[in-house]
Amino acid sequence: MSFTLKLYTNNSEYDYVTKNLTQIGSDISCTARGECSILHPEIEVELASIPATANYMYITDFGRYYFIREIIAVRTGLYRIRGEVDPLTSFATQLRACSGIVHRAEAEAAYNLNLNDGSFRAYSNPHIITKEFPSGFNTIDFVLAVAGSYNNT
Amino acid sequence: MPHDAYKYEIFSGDGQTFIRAGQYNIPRVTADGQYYYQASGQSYTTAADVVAWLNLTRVRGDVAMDFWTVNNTTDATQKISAAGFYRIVDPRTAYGLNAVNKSVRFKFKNGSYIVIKCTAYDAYQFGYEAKYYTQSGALQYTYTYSTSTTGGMWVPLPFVYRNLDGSITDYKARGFKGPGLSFDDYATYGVRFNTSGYDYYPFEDSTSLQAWFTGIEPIDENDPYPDVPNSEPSGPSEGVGIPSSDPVSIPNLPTVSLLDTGFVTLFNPSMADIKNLADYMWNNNAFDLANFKKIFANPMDCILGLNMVPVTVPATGAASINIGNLTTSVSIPRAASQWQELDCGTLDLGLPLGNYMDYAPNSKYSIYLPYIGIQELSTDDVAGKALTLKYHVDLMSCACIAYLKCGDSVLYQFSGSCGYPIPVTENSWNNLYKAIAELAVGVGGAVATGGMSAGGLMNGAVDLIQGLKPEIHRSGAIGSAAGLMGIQKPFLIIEIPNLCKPEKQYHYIGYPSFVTKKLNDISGFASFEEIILENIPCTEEEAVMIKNLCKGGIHL
Repeated sequence: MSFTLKLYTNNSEYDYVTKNLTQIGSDISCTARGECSILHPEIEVELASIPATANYMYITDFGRYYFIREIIAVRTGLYRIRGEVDPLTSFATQLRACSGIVHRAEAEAAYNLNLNDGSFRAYSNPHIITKEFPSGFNTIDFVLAVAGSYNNT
Repeated sequence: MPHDAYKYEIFSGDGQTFIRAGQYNIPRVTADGQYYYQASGQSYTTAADVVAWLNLTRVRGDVAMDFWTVNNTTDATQKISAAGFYRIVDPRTAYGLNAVNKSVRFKFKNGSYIVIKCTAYDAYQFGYEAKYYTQSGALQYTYTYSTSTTGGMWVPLPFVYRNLDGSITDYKARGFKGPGLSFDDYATYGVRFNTSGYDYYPFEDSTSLQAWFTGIEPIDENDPYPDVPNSEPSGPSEGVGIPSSDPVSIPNLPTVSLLDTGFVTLFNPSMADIKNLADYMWNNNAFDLANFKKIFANPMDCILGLNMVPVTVPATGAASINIGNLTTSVSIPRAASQWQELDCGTLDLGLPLGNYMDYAPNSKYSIYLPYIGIQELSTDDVAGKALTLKYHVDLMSCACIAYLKCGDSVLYQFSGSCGYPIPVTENSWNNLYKAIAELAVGVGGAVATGGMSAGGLMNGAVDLIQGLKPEIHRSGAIGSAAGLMGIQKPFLIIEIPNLCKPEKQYHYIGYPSFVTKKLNDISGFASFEEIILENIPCTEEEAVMIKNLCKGGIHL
């Protein structure tokens, strides 16, 4: 069974839906070594040398992207590549059309800082702030209370 | 401008008022191509024809409800206003009723709802049936429609239009391509427009109208019309919603004053005035002490109290002091009122951190109130609110009360004492104050019948009620002399968490969220409580991987 393979240098973490990929060379023909899993493929490619930066690949026939887990030099000019499917990037378009209940988010439109989920921590020495009201008691006056009425003068 | 005679009210099926026309304006939507109507053989396809158009609610990207009015009918006197669901039942839309028995239910906040079911759909025809249920589940109205086109369909709103005179305007069609709701009896009631155009718009905006529309949901295609509305488990009540808050204002000063009784007079003396009075009483030969002592044992018995108070006494014209029944020649400004107010102003600190740490139990608020002391406040009561503080002071007893208004309501009131008594008499100020009050309301009649002087009754009353005198609770408070020596300006004491926050936290682990979102609407990091994977052609193992990744957090 032969496939078309694209080799990439992936500069993104595994949890990025859109990977930062740089294709290495042109498309490559490869063959499967015996039975081939679509999720964990093991394929052989014939190359004069395999680029040291190749860590990601796309198998056109499977329509999926794969992390390269291991590259084994079988003999001169023949390399065996073990891959593991990257479902996030493989189905990125369909995934983006899905909805879910967000637990934490970077996007301002999705988070609410008044939700207490323990996201923030505090040092044990709090700020103690005093704030005065604009005005207060600022005079002293006398008041004399006398039984009875008064005479106007 | 709307005329009252043209006003009407829209009621739900069970009679609950939703909209009162004449109070709202419709924003005019001028974009061409968003509408298409045909009435009496005339098409309306331009902004000038449709004078007012309101898309009320968008559900899943489709317009669920439209309100509109048409100006240029074939008959200049025929102006049309209509309302209904439109594109949501358009089978051409993604969520339209594009299959027989496909149904949706529109729910309203009062519990009433409509079930709309597609009854026919193929290349040549489209039909639907709309049933209107009250909140008790009673079927009130059925509307059916079919057409040979698969264009946009109208479903009238589930309202009867009740005019202000109490009459009901029923659903009526005006020959629209799609069924609509109109007011062709507008001559006597309903919506009416000028022949030269419109003179008012009956509805305002989607925000106000969405208040009673809760949403739309697809329902079981095989059982679109549940005859028993409560076939689902009832479960706990959803509640009736948070009631609106009635603002509680700081009260005005009391309008009743002991000064009005005539049994007591308050003066606002200077030091010199006080000395003059003492001289008159003790060093003045003109003072008839022998005559005075027929009534009083001691002239000072008539001095109910002399206090230092930390507020300005509202003085009015000077008057001669009467000692008992003797008029002195000492003239002192009188106090115009028994009450005085001190406004300490408003403090608005906002939210220091802008997150949940601003609230309890993370932040703590207390307030120092002169003459009262330090009082703890509930953080949730005061955080982020403008705090207004006012004192009311009773110049007779020197009792004070501090009102703390948090936002638009008084949530706290604390009492204290703000007078420093200057000892001039052996009688306690409070005893006399109480006695005077009793005299004014209960014993006053005895003055006339017994012919006894007010001063004599006053002392009797003091003896009578001495044991009943309430005490001002001052636990932990700073009153009287200590209050005078204390800080005179109120202040807040706030304990704010010293936030420990890594740089770019939002990028690495995000901020808290609990909202349903389409992933396409989010950027950056996001983790999910739950996600439903739809239309992803992946294996089950991949689906599990995606779900787990999404729950752990992904970068979009």
